[in-house]
Amino acid sequence: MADALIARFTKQFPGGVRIRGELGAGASGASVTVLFGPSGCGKTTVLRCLAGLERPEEGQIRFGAETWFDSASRVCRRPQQRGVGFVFQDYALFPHLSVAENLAFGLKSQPAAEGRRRVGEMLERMGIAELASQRPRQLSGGQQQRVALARALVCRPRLLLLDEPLSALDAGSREELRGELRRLLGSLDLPVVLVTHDRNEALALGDELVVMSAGAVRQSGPVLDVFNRPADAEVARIVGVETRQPGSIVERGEGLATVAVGTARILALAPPDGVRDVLVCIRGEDVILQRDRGAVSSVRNRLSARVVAVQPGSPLVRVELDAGFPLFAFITRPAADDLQLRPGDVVSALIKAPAVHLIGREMSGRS
Amino acid sequence: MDWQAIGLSLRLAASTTLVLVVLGLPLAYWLASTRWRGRFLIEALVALPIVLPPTVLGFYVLLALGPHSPLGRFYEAAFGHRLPFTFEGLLIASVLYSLPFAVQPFTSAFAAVDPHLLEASWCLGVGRIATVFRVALPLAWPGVLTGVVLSFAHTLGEFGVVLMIGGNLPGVTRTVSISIYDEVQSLNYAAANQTSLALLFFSFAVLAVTYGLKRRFIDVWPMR
Repeated sequence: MADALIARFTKQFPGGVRIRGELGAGASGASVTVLFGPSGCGKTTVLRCLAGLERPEEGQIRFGAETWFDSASRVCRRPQQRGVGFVFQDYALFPHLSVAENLAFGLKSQPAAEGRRRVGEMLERMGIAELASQRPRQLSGGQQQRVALARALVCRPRLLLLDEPLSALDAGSREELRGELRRLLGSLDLPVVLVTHDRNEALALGDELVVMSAGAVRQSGPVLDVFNRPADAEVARIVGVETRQPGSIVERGEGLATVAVGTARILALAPPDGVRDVLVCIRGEDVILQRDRGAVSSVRNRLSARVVAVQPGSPLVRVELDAGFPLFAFITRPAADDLQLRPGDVVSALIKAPAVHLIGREMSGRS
Repeated sequence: MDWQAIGLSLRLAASTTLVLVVLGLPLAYWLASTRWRGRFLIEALVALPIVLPPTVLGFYVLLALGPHSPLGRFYEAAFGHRLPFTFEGLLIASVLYSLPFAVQPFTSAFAAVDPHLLEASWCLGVGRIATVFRVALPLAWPGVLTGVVLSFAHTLGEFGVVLMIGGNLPGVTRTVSISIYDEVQSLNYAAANQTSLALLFFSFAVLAVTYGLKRRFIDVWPMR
């Protein structure tokens, strides 16, 4: 059974923003916690504090029954005493050592035979046995990543920390290695904390999500919960909810609420009583576009919308609409081909009521 | 040719270099890795012998080692003789005089090592000192070699400091440069020329071999 990490601390660099780390990992068994946020929001600093590479000013970091850091009792374990595996963004493989020597680097305290056995096993497991005698600079980015993971795992860490593990790769191998990394992380019996600024990576790799912005944790919870139900406007922006429009509730009933947004009215699940002014959040993937107006469906919101712009992308096409308020939709390329959308066309935009997420504006702390 | 002086100079240069490696590597590693704001003060102090006339350095070292300073008295009490005009006194002075020629290349070599590599080593459970030997030094060796050769060659050619601290005692403090100076003073140009040529060729050979080796290894075995 994996131990749980509980951390709550602040770290301030001279002249920099104050970074507040607040997270737990592995509480529900081995799982991947993703620290997600824009570049420069302090994610990497939080990860480095967990590894003992930076010393926070205040707070506590506990792992299982151990205290790794406690400002009150002046405890700060060194990286060597924490038993963490750290995979750096640039992988930080030792350039003067072969792949096998890189793996054996942290095993010097083991008997030589045991060390060789573990290195051999790990090389096999990661599919890099044929690279054993190569130097890191002879390897591709994906191979380097596997060596870096293998080097961390062969020391049997109790906690694995990954800093932007895919960002050093080109777009093609990134897609490919994402699935591979997910399978590997899923097979490990230890908590993982992973830093990324990429939404797709966060969605693909994470079980739990911690959203950071400007040095502070804004929201944490299961990945889909946070992506679908952001707690405030800032989180909604960071997790990439394309449509974020102010609205106000004009009618409530049977657990549903009618919200006036711009000149349109849409139906959503009712927020707690007392909330009137809201931020209406709709993900682009949850908007369905149709040409014909007649078909009957269970979808409650059917808005007449004018196409403003169509931006081709891969794999989704981004459509900007005017539905009485600015609305964004993501549709697949074949769907875009069928619909033959051009600016000025009028279409129906279908949105299920549960896909409309309302954030009380009093709580969001803005406008 | 003054073989005694050549032998003494080589012995002094080798001892100075050895002391500088032992003291200079930790100092350079600290300079390259510290986040302390006052670091520039130490760097300026280390670089001082480059700009200071050897006579000024020699003068203060002479005062510091002499019988009127606490250090000089302590040494005399402990070892029964005074430091000035001895080989040990000369060694202390030349270590100070050649300090920047060792510490500056060492520091830039350590500073060029990616800090993530050191941190990766710590996270793999390897201690700080073991990390220096297993990661920093193997990657910084061309710069370390440069520092070793420069301090050796620089000590071999030193004159002013030797004159101030060591004087001119054959076999104890009479180095090559002093010997050459003496020969010239007594208009013995042929002897001066012999010793000078020997020193010239030796210095050139050491530097050529070092730079040749470095170039070859760095071309064949690039670190990054």
